[in-house]
Amino acid sequence: MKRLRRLFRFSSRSPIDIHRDVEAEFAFHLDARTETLQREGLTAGAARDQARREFGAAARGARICEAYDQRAERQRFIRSAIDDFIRDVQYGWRAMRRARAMSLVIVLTLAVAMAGNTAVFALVNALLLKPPLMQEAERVVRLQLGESRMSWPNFEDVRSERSAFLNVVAQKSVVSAVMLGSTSVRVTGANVSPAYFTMLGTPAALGRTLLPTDTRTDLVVISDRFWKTRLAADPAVIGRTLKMPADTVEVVGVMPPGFIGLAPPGLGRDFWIGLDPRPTPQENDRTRPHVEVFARLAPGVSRDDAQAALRVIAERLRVQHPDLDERILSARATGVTGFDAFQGIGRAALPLLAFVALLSVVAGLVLLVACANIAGLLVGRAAARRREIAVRLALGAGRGRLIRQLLVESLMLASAGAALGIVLSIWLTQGAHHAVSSLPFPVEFNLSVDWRVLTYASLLACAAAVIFGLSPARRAARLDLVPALRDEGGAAHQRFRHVLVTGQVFACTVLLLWAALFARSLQNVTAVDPGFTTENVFVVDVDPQDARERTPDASHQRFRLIQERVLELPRVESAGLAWSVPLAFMSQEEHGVLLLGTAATDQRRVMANTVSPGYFATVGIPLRQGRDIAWTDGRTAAPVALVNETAARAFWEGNALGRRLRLADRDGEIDVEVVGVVADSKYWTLGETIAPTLYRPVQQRTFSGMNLFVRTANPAVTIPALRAELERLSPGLPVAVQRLDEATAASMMPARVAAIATAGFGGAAMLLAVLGIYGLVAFSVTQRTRELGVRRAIGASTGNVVRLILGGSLAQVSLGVVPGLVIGSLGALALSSFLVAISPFDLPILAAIALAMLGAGAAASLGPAIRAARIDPLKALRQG
Amino acid sequence: MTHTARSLMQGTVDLLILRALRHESPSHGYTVSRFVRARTQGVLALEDAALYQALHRLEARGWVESEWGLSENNRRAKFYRLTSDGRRRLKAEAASWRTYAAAIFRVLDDAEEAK
Repeated sequence: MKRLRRLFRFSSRSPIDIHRDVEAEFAFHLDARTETLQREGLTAGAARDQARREFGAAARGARICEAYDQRAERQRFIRSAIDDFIRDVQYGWRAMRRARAMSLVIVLTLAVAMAGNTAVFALVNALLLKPPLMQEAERVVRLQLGESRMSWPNFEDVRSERSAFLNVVAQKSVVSAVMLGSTSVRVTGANVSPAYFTMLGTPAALGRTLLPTDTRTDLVVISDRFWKTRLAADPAVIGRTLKMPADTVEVVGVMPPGFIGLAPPGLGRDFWIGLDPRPTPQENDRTRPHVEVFARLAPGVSRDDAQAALRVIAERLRVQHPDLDERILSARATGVTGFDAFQGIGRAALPLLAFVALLSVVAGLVLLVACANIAGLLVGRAAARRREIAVRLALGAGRGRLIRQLLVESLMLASAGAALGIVLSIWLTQGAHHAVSSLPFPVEFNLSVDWRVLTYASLLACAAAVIFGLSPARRAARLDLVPALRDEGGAAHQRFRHVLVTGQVFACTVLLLWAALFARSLQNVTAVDPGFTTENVFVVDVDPQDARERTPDASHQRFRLIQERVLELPRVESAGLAWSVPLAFMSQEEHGVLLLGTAATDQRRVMANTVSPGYFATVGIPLRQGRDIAWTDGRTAAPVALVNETAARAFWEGNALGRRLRLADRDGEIDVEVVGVVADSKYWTLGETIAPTLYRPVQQRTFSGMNLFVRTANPAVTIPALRAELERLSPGLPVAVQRLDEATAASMMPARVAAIATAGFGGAAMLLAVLGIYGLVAFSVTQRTRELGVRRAIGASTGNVVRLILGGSLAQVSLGVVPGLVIGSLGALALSSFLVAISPFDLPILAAIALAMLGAGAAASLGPAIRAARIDPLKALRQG
Repeated sequence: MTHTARSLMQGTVDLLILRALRHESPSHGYTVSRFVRARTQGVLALEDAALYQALHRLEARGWVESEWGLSENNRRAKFYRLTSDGRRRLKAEAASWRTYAAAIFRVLDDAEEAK
């Protein structure tokens, strides 16, 4: 470090030098004056006294002079640094133009690597760094009473707390259908309490937001995205009506681009509608949490104060309502920016963040490979420029000065690469954005280049310049003059390039291994049996709120009516309802259950779904034991459930029938009896290990929205009839029928994106590594011309020479491949949640990667090896 | 003469020094001091410490530059000379002083005549 600092210090007078100079200057003056006075006839003492008197306050004068000198020195330093820099840039520009082809290769190499890194950072920026579009986002908090949602009465009590919060608002995400012309589309939005937009403080781009004074619940504010993609950016959109299942709503405003309210970052929103201020009896149940609650902190109130205030409310609530779970006492007030913003999507956030981390690592590796390549090229060039550098050193250029100048050259190359990389990254992110727009839920990343992205790219470019520039520059400057002038040496350069190529091969092996694992994984994903069939199965969401039926009994009757009517449609083979569509990433439920009648006293986690009779038959999940749910398992009948085989095996060694378990859900604590066992099927991702799963009848639960699954022998006949029937049952309401395979296509996304991303980065790294190996071998053949000539002269055959060169380069490649495979496999262990049916230690894949790398190494060195074999011994010997 | 003439304004010192350095050969501080004293005939009491401060200030502003050299009797001394900026500055300062002084004189002469 000290050496580095010395490198950057320009020669200048230190404060001590300045002090001495001023002292000497004053002393000279006094002596000169004294001498003159003596010559005029004064005694030595008198002369000195008079000289001093005439001089005045010497000490103070000296101080002031020194201060002026120091300032001058600083200015001179800055001016000379700028002058040097300009000279370095001019010199660098000439050097770049002399080696035009190589400079172009360096800039392009770096641009590709920078584009990947910048694009990944833009994603990180969009997810974690950019503040959400709202006023003073750091003053907004999410309020939780023990769990992520709050019940309506609890929300109202928190809202009445006036001291800590300016506004307290609630939101509830909704997926709905909306009628546009003759088609209906699925849209995602939120029901929000009246003060929502006041609290966020973001004005509408067009029209107005919802206001606390709005009493109507049929007013909707739409997002810029919805307005542009679905309504063709209709300028007369304000006042237009939209038909939705719950109501016909009137558009009052369009929000600005990028506004997603309080949704987790990355998730888009289509609309916001006021929450009905008159909750249904179910919604009004204090023990049933269903809204997310946010607040803006009052001035001067910290997040901790807010949390303390919330705890006080929680304690009061617990006293007033002893039936509340004691978990509400762990009340929390957390932020809505950065990592905190992901609390809304809970566990789904982890894989997402892990994936972003994976992308960062992969992109970083490619950049390192690129840097190693460029360093190799620069070392090669430095070797070629040895004479020039030696001459400059001999002429007296300082080594520090020389290193600085070479670094400026690197920095210029890096800047050009970074600039091009940023342009490429914009193109790359647009492509990625386009790719995710096919997901069933709206995804919205604000990937635009902002000052954070630019800062990151600049820092990265500087770091890259130092990484690939410093070592060659220092090597060049450490040059021994005499052998260099005689054009000898280069062994150290050669060693350094060997290290670089090994590092490159290592990073490239890791990337290719991951790419191969993800590619296999993608292949496996398409082959994985999810445990249910999607063939000829269609899914449509049905919502009893259509008809404003509010009581559970009425809902159940309506669900049953819908299912029975649909079963009567032509060519329908089977139909059933389920709350969660498997593999659709839309909704999941998880419980802790207590196994009754066993020794186990701890809670077991189960995944859960709520289904109607006929669901399993419709999606082709076979019943293994016992019976299916029946409509007779009603609200008043004994609570029953089905479990999957994994649960039966894990909990009761396969004998699940008649077993009982106790669970606490939002309906309260109940005991259910297992009446049947169904085959295993995937719930959330194709790659998951199947978890114990519990299925409960819809008619024993209170649910508002369900998905209707229909299997038909002839979709062309059934689907129009289905649409017509549902429209007849709920007149004027949109019906969004989807093929089940389309609804579950999202489960392929992670595997597909990971495979594409790692394959892209891996391919780029491979190309770079091949170039690196080629450069090294070609260079070493040139360097060894004489030695090879001697070998030829004393009888080495063409084959011998080719073997010598190839063998050397393959040994070189193996040095990088072996640790690459080991580290890559270990790294892949951390990624195993993304890998489907493939172990990170898959031998065929490891072998294939090793072969591919060796093959690439051989291909890269073949050309130089043949050139080596063609060396004419006589010419080679004469050359020396 | 009252105190107004004796306590020199900063600009005045600068002007005197720039003028003292006008000739081509570099001079050290002592020469400048002697020059100023000789020309003002002791009317302006300029302490040498103040003179050096002014020299260093002018150097920091880039109007004079300095170099160490040997004096007439072979001692190490710091020599000053005008930069081209300093030369321009001297011209401008001198011109404005002349205008200023001429204006003051006109006023004083008028007052004398009126008496």
